[in-house]
Amino acid sequence: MPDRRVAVTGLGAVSCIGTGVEAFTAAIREGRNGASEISSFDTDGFPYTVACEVKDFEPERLLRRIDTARWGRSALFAAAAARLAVEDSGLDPGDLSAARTGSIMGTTAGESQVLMEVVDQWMSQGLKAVDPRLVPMAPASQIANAVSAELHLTGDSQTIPTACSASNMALGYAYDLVRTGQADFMLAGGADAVNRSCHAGFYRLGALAEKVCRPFDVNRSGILTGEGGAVLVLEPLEHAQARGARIYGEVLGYGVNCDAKHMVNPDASSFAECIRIAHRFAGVEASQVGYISAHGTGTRTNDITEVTAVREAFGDHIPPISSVKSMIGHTMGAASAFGAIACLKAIQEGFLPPTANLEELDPALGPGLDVVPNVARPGRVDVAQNQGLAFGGNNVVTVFGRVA
Amino acid sequence: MTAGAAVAAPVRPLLVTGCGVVSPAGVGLAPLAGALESGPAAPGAPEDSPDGYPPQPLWALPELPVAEHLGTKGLRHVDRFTLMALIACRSALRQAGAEGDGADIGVVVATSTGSLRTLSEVACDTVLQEKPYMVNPGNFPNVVMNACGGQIAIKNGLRAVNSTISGGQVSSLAAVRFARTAIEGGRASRVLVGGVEELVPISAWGWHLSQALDAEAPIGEGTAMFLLEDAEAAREAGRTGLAEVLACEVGYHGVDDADGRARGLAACVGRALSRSGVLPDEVDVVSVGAAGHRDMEAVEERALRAALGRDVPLIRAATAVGECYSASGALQLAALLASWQEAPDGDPRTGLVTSVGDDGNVGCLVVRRWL
Amino acid sequence: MVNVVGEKRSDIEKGNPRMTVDVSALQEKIRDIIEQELELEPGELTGSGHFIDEYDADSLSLITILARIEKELGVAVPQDELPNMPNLDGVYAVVTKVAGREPQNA
Repeated sequence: MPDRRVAVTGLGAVSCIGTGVEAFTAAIREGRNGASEISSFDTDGFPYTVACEVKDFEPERLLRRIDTARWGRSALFAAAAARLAVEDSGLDPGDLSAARTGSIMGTTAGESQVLMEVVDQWMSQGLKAVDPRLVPMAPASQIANAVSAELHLTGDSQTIPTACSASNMALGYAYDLVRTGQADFMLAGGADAVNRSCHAGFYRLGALAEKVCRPFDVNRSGILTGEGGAVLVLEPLEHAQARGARIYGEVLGYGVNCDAKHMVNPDASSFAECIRIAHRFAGVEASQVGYISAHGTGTRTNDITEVTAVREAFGDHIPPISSVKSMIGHTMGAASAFGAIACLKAIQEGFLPPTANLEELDPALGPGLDVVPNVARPGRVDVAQNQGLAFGGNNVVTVFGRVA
Repeated sequence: MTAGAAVAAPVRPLLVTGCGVVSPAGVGLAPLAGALESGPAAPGAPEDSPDGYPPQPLWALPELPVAEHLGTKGLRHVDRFTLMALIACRSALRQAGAEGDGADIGVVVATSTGSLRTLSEVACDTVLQEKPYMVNPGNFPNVVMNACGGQIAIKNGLRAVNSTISGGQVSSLAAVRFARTAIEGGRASRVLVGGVEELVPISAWGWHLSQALDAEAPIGEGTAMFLLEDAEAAREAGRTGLAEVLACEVGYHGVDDADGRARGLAACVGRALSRSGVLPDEVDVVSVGAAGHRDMEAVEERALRAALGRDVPLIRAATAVGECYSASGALQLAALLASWQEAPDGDPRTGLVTSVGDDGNVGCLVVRRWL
Repeated sequence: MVNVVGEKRSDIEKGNPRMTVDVSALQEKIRDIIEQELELEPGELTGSGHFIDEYDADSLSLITILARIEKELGVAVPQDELPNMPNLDGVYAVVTKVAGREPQNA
């Protein structure tokens, strides 16, 4: 089995703080807060009414091929981000569809807004009156299929619905497909849409913040639900170099494991083991890692677990660690892909992405913790690691490096 | 490398060392083999629904033997979708003698919806309860589509890669491909892989409204789970199995018409055979996935004639278990293994599992009998 | 159902002789919910037995218990009361306290 090095040559983001990788990166650098009052569903009866919605999403302006009326919001986020990523890569879309190219997309709630529409029609008129056009839009598999249809791809087309680390799993799998020669190119990332069920569930678990997401802050109060699409173009390094492509970085490897303990509560030592697995597969030492994009949801449980695990894996010298969720909320199945984009831009441009909304670092997290408060700082990053934890105990850590 | 130059290297065989099946025919391969002849002996009826059901045959599981397989504790907030899978997984691990040995075992579950029962319960609660947030917190973690995979890991202590794959009708084959890549990549030494589908009012109406099935095609439910590992490693460890799983190839042809999809599936079969080192002439039987599908049945049969150059005997798992969407590929593989258990040694020897969905996904798995 | 607790509270304040019966009925419902959620045999749950240490509860099962008390008994206990509810006696005390200051339910 050939083992190829895999470069990242295109990035696409549709987020509440910017569409396109440049707008997204500029907002990340300034630590912009993307939270706002929810408009995608009726919040009557909800004590908390803030989320990170993409208010200016206009899929018909970004997409060229697919009919926006026939795909759900998550699928459109993924397809739009994929289209942007391909444009960013400089690859000819015709070459891409002629080659063995596929799409692997992560999600948590799939086409949740489609399902909510089905449920609303069901509750008011019964199941037999549900609009038949909604049926083929509902399966989570349509998210990756939308990318494949938009870009006319004929390779693997699968959605990986492994909750909050899903797009790291998608990245890892897509990397394996390119690395092993089973694909020429892959589009990998994730998408999710803000929806009533998710908002209700996290509120009910006591994990939802009222207005502001403050990871690592002593006054943090939980997550904000978010949405969007984030996609990376994976290409064999040799091919990228031969065509003179702009290379953001290289996928050095990834680590994956499962706590196998609890559906909801994460496990620090199991996550530390996942980090060590990632380092082993990526061929790096902990001391080489220059930046950690944390899972950083904004709950106390996550902060304590994640920092404990990082200490276990890194010892006393923890690299700068920050959370983009402080700006874009918890974009669920897209979250790890947004984190990956932050890592790759950090490597390419030489800066440390910040943790926004930080007022007072929680002393319980221990000494020597640099969460890059509030705005980005210049800093060279050669190796960055991107962390994802999920319901079900699904841990995935991806590692990116500068191509020397 | 130039565009189109991805190298289709030959695959290393994987061995199926354990298999668990829960279907309208009952638990295990033996009742499934019987049902391939004449349909399930005594399928269950789906739960009562205020919405009624569409005019289509409905094959639910006979009563689920939960206590017998899983005991009675720790299952309070485990939904029926996951209970089915847990029973199949327990059976597969037991058959392989792999219980209590999970540190390096991974899990890959095929589903494109997760538990529609749980999803709709929570979604309906946000409409019907006095306050929209009054969803059941104990039920909420089951909303995520990887809840089933997570519970399989928790209940069996399986700590390696844990994934869930959605590819519509082709999901289970895509899951096998994921499992193979995970084993080859060192993410797990063994992987429990399969698919799950539950018959609930919303899925029955979904099939009806989509008009994708023939009017007389039964809608079913069920799960099949398989424990896979590198065949050579298994042999060295002195383990035996049910069958060897060779290459699994997939593709997307959603923007193509019926002809384009047939060509896409035929090409997919060709790639799978080539990576398996199997010639078209050597294929003895195909376990097809689109039986009972209004448009896709003809697409699948045309693709097989194009790829194999002749008509080969077909096994139609849906005639035994009903239409099982994301779990179809897993139940098709189970049906193939069940038919081999009934057949005399040595013949037939090589089979395919194929799939084509209305969404345009196609897949082909090559399977060799373990002798 | 929503009004039950409020009414009982006013009964208590009036010194209604039925109060002990009603309070024990409420407590019995709370006990049932906890026994179900923690999958305990009848009689296994004691007033002082620690949910987490002795009955394998976790944060999710405790939140689920609170949600059922709100939905089925009409008493909305805030989650920040959870530290005061380590055992059955703690739940009784907090539910009684919270029920008493819920005029909207009276």
